[in-house]
Amino acid sequence: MTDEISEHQARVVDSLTDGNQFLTFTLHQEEYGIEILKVQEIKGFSRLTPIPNAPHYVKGVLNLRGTVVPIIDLRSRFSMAEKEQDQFTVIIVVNVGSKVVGLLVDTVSDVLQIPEEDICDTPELAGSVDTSYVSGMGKVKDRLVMLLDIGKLIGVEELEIVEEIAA
Amino acid sequence: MSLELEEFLLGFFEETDEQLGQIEEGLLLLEKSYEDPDLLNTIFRAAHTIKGNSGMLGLPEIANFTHRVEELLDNMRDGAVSPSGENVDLLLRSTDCLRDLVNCAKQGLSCETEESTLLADQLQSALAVSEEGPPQTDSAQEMPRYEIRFTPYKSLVRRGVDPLLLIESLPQVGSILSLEMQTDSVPDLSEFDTQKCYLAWCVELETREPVQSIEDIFEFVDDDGQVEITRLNPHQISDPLPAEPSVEQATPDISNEPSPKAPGNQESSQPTVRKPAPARSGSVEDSNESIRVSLKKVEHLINTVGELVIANSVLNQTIGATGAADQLPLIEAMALVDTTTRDLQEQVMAVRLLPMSTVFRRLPRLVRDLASELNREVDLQICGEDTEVDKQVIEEIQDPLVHLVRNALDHGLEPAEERLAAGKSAQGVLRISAFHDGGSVAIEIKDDGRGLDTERIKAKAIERGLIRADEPLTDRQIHALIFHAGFSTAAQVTKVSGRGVGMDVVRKNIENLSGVVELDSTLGKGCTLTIKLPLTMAILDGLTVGLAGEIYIIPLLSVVESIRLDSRQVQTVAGKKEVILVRNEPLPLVRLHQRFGVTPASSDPCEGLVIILEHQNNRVGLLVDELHGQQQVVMKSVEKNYQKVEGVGGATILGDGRVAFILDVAGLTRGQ
Repeated sequence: MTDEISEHQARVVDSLTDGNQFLTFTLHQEEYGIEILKVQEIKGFSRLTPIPNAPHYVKGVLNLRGTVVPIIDLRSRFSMAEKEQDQFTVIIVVNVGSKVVGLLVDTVSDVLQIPEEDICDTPELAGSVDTSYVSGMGKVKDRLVMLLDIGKLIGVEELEIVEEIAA
Repeated sequence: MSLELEEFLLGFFEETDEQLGQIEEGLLLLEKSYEDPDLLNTIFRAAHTIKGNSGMLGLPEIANFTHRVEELLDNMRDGAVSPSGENVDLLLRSTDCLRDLVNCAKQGLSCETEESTLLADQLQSALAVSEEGPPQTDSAQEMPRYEIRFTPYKSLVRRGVDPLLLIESLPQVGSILSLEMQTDSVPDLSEFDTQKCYLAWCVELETREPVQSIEDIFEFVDDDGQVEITRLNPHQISDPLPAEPSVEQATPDISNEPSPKAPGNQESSQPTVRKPAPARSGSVEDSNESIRVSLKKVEHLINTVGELVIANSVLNQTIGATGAADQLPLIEAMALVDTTTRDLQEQVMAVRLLPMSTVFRRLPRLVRDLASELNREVDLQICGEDTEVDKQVIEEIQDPLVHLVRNALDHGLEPAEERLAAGKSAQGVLRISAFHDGGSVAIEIKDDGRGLDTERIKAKAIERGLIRADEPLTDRQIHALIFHAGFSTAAQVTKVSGRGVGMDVVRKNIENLSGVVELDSTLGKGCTLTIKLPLTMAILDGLTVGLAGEIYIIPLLSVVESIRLDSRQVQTVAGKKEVILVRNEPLPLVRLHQRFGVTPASSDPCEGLVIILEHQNNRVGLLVDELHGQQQVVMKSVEKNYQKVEGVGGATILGDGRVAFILDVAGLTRGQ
């Protein structure tokens, strides 16, 4: 027990010096991680205002202390079955470039330090699974955490739309 | 250091802009009434400050050019050159050129344009011939040498002046023969104060430039140190660093030289400093003891106060709901918080407001140039310069306004002969006014020219295929055609206007500010264009409507009325397009629920409510579920974190903390 605590402490100290920290969360019992430096805050779920004609995975906008923040449901973004919000449902507010976006996830679980050598490339998955927004797989003990590239996840597609409008 | 310099540069650009405005304004006055020495002094001083500042900040192109301008002004002041129309014109063109140079510098380019060299030559040749005399003979002999003793007061550094910068700018004037730093007064380390300047310098400089240009470099340390500039006799040159007494021996070769502090030409300009006219550092605001604050800080403040207002109303609702409403002291305290918060919000909003004069200031020049180019006689009347408007509005209204003024002069006002023939006075009147009108600001551009010719517009529109020949249109609708892209009725395309890219751009710009343009014209009598803009971009008066359980806000500025339909009023065209008849006027019906893809409470237009919206003389009926009320809302951007949403102009945060979308009326009425 004490060992575990000291190990945890060591991890915390480590993390102060190293940037490879990830906030992990679950979606449909799968574990995902995002770079902690991109995370602004974590927020409980509250009522959203739906955006007219938005893609199905953009659930609406939220008032975050005066800023209008769009909320993306990661389950529907990844074409998983949607789930009713419960007391564990959480919005992770992230900064992507100059934008602030909220990600709707099942639960947040941990902050993990994953050293570079424990991160491996995403294997090519056959079929329709889009892995372009997965930047790598983190090995944590016997688990695998899918590390998401937030910029790709939110940025690219949206930017394309914006460019289309501008053109 | 470099950061500081950058800050200085920013300040310089802002100040210079104001000073150029002053010069321009002064020159225009000068053109009207010659003999006012104060006026010349004001202009001169503004030019002088630009020169001094640009020299100090290492912008030689600007400094050199301004120097030429200043010389000519100086000549005018001495009476050696008359401030004739020709010379004033030259100076005005030089002001434009200077503005270009400053803009180049702003982008980090240092470009000496062809125009600037050409103008500099013209300025030179406009100078009185006598000026050319002495330096010419001087140059034949040895170059004059000066000894500069610069002894700053200890407080110099604290004032933000970097002595090194001053010394470094000396080579712009001449070549430094020797430079000695005097460290006598540097104290022991224990007493050393890092915020004090203990050093003094002694420089020997060789230059053909007048002593004035050396003084200019040190102009801004007048109050922070002693600067002695002495011209050296030829026999003293061998001794590079003359001791203290030799300063007295130095021959005052140049008439305005020995004054240790105030440079000669400043003496003559000093009396005018006391005048209410804008002082050296420039802006009108400065005289009101103002500070420059970055817009970011102000915006942050506005946002925070907006949050406070929302939190306040949440608190109010909670108190009402929890039944604590019968506790009198609590209610009283809440009422006080309420009023104070609203007060605070209003005041914070007012911080962003600027007077219209910042825009109007440029118009006299524009009208003057256009009038002479187009051969019109114009009496320009400006009123309401003090009307305060949001900073963003000020910035964005400039171009449309200039365009409208051009149009008024080119298409509106007739040439003198034509006016006389029509029984009008030869001089046309162009009246530009700004005033508050309820919660919005109106800018009116009124001319007494020929007015819009509906027949010609109609013919043109038919020719361009904008309308069909048999289309029955009201005068108002015909007038609205001039805002169409690619429409121009000017018989010939002039340099000034007539390319037909104008009015639709004007309309777009104003729409972007969520404003409207109204047009009122009588053939032969004149035309009045009214631009109505919200007082600030941040707050807007809105109508709150409900649709599918959500609340939407419609800018009140574009709401005409709201009606409940009778089934006889609704008709379909070609089985698809729905049209409603309101007071015998057929209007397209826009079902908001269809546009937004939501399920309404009822799809029967007679069960819901129809809001008649007007935009650019286009009217539509917008079908929503219900009407909630009217409230002021703080405008928030949706695009900032998301992207443009069709039909949505922005968002706001309601009293309960929820987000509500503000409808984009321009988008909803377009294409109907």
